[in-house]
Amino acid sequence: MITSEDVKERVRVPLSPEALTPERIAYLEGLVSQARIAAAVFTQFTQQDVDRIVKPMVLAGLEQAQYLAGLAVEETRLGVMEDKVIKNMVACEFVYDHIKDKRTVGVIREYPERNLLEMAEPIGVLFSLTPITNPTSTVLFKCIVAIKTRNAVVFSPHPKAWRCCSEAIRIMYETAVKHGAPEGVFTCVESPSLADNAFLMRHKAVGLIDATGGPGVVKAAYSSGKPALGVGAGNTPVYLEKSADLNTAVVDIIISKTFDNGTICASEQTVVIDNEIYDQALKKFADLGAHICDEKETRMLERGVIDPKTGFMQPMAVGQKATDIARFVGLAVKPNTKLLVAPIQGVGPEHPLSVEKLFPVLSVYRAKSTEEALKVCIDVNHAGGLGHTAVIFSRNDEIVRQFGNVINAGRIIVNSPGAIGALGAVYNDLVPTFSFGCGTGGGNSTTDNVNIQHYLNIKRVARRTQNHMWFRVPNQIFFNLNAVENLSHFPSQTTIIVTNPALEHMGHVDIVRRHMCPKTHVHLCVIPDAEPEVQVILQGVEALNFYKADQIIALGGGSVIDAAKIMKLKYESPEADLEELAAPFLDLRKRVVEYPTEKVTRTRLIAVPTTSGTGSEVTPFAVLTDKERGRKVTLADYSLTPDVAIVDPQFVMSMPKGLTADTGIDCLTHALEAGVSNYASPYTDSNAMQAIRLAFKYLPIAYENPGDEEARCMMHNAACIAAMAFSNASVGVNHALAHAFGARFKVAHGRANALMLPHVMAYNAAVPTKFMPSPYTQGYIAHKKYATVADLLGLGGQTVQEKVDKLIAAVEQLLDRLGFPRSIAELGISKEEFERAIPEMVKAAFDDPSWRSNPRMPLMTELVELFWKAYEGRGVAAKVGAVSQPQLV
Amino acid sequence: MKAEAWPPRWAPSLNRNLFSLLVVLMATIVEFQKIEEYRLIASLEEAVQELDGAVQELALDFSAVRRIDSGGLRALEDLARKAEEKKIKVILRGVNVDLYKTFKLIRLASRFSFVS
Repeated sequence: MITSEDVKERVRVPLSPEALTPERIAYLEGLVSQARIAAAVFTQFTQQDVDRIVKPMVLAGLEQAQYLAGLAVEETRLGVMEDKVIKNMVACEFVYDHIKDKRTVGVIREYPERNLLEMAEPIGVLFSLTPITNPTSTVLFKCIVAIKTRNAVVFSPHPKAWRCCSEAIRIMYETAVKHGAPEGVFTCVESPSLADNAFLMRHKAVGLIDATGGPGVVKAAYSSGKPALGVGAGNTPVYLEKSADLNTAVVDIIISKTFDNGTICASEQTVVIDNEIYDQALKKFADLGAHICDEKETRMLERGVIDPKTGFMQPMAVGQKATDIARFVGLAVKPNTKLLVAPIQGVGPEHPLSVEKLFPVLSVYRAKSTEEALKVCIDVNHAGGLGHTAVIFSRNDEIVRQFGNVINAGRIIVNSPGAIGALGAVYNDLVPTFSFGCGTGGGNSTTDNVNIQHYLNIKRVARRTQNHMWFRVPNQIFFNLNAVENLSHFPSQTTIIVTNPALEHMGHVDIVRRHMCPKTHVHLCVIPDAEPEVQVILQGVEALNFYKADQIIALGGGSVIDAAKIMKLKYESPEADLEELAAPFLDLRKRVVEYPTEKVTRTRLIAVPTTSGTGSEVTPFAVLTDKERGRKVTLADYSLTPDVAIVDPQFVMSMPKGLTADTGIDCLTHALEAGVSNYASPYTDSNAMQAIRLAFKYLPIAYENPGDEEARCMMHNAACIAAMAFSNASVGVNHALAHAFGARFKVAHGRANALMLPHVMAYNAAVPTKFMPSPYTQGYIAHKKYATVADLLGLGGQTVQEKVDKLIAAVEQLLDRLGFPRSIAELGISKEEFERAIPEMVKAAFDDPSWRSNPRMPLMTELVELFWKAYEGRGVAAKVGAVSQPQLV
Repeated sequence: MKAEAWPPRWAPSLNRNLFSLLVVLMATIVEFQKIEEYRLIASLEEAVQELDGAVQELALDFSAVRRIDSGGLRALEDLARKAEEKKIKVILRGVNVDLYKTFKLIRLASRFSFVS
């Protein structure tokens, strides 16, 4: 509450504790010392210990409710005895009902599905200021909540309510100690002064200040540098909307505004009434015992209860009866008048009664429209009531929501009395309290109804969570010679075959057509034999739209299949923004962009690969060339995965040697990177290991003897199997480097991979400069997985390091056997040109999502180093022991 | 008291009621005393009296103390203050984790040495 006295107090606070005598300081230190020891002892208590103390305290509070209410009224001369009894009982019974089964010691909440525990840590020593308006009820509430949360409290009651508060503290303390609470758990400052408060607020042993009172003490609390719960003034606007149940509304407002003579700071201050019901509402107020002031009486009331200098209420009016106030200001009212209702024409200094009035004087305002009513409520809210409480009576949900939206109040009470409604647990399900958090609007740290959760430090014990993993592959995969015959199983009205000119000339398209359902209308979309560009994709989508295709067969290498995937995406979801979908991400499940799920049409995509490397027939990736920026854009989403893959080696029998080597090494790189990926799982490992074994065995044969059907078939399977592994485990830094380098220097993907591979393996096998955070892996295991591969290949070696060295040597030998250039320099790229390209390539590589699953997090300087190693090339196996990184054992 | 954690030369304590032993170790006189939870304050007050003797180190065995109350903490604070005045090192043995945290909260832990 704000009274004119508070304004004076605000000028003086915060006070310097230097005004205290040494004796007084010693006295205060003694109180804190007792509380500090009690708080330390309290930490040893169990939940059962605490609960055994709380219940008798509550019963003692209920037993003494009337006695304490009497003391409060006698001492403070504020409020209504009967209402104070109710407040004391609510502070005990309703608060106990809320907290009795709640855990406040040890584990207080468990979230097994999130692997999370919440544990309670007491605050220790609280310094608590209690108000004059609700003295004993606030003390009872704070004592009960403090014991429940194992805290000790040093109380400083309002000086004008000290006797009743200290008696309430004594009753609570004696009951608590009798039932096991530590000695000294509650102490009370005798003859408290502002200097005492300033000293205690700054005391190093005080963990939290809980200040319930005027804005002066609240401000002092927040200015002390300590964590504080400060609960200050309100100015509750009420909107009495025309759809409201008027009988209920008027009675509720009278109940609330006259409860304890209006001393609860959440009580109604200005009622804004719709014009349509204004007269009727005022009549009801009058019928139920309110006195409706005329203009002259309103002026008299203003002059009597509001301090003209400060604009705040006169303290002598606080908590007084309506009849006493009327007599004081000179109004003639009936003897049983409950409430003085004063019409006002606006809000602000020119309308003195629009401020907080903690006594039974209610201002009313006639609003000509909902809009005007809401604006006046906002004005009242901003005239000293921000963050506190607001009330609306309405049966119009839309208006209730609108009111909630525009009013800044921690508690927006609907169709019930404001004061008792805000206390919680009586008219609604709000947490019961005697301290209302008012949020930043009121200079507070919370808008909550203060309760046990605010008296605790809540600790979160977060166990390591193993995110769900997946293994997703196309619905159907047909493999081995003549697998293409299975096309007949897929009926279609209109099919577009996406392919390239060379494959058409080779007769592959005819083979496909032969095995399709006879009634299918087939159209060809022949695209250049290169990585797809946006323009090519859009032309393909045009064809799909023109023919209203229901099936796409992608016949070709990775580029053709990738093009078909993107065509399908754009055909089914024309709004898809490829640029946005290619946005960088760290974790597939949490990335910002979402692939479209709403589709204007549905198409089946059947991928028939004609190379044995990319594995695009089973992957969720598609690579697009961004010609303008000279880089590759990778799209990744499982919705891109083809529906059917047909892995028929007849389409690769005629692959030239160079292409066999390039694509074969791409396959091996996929498998090796998936094998050591942070996303690797037993499912992907089985595929990766098998693909590595097949590639090492059959790639040289397929390269050297292209007509070897078994070798071709096995390499075709190896590519698909490796792709199943990396579709789910992803690839790594090798691909990031190869993408950047390949795009910049127009080097085939497989060849770019080959140039990087031995260097990246040595890099991954060494102790990382920076470990990659990964919840999926237990420790750093990349080197051990390489060693497992070496064992699988029978390369020998005793130690992990020896096995890694032998694997890298085997890769080097394979690259030599396949005739790969072993350095970038061998490609004829000058050192100067390469050096100039490095910054751009490093940036592109670091932007590439491929490395996100790499076991080792690449630093940009390391990417530079790797590029230079690839430039210089050759002899990694021989130099493995000499690489700059320390080796793992 | 079990002797395995201590050097081999033992001497009986003057205060047999407290099951204590006076140990002369390399010219250091050590008083060793077991603290019982059921008579915690009395035990600590007796320990304070030991500080008036020729003792140079005081070792208190807290392994039988599960919980401490406000009075016990005050007695321990008193003991710490007097030991500091007389420059006598106080070693607490067998303090459980909850007790240790309690000592820490009232800044008592830094005034003692701890052995497990």
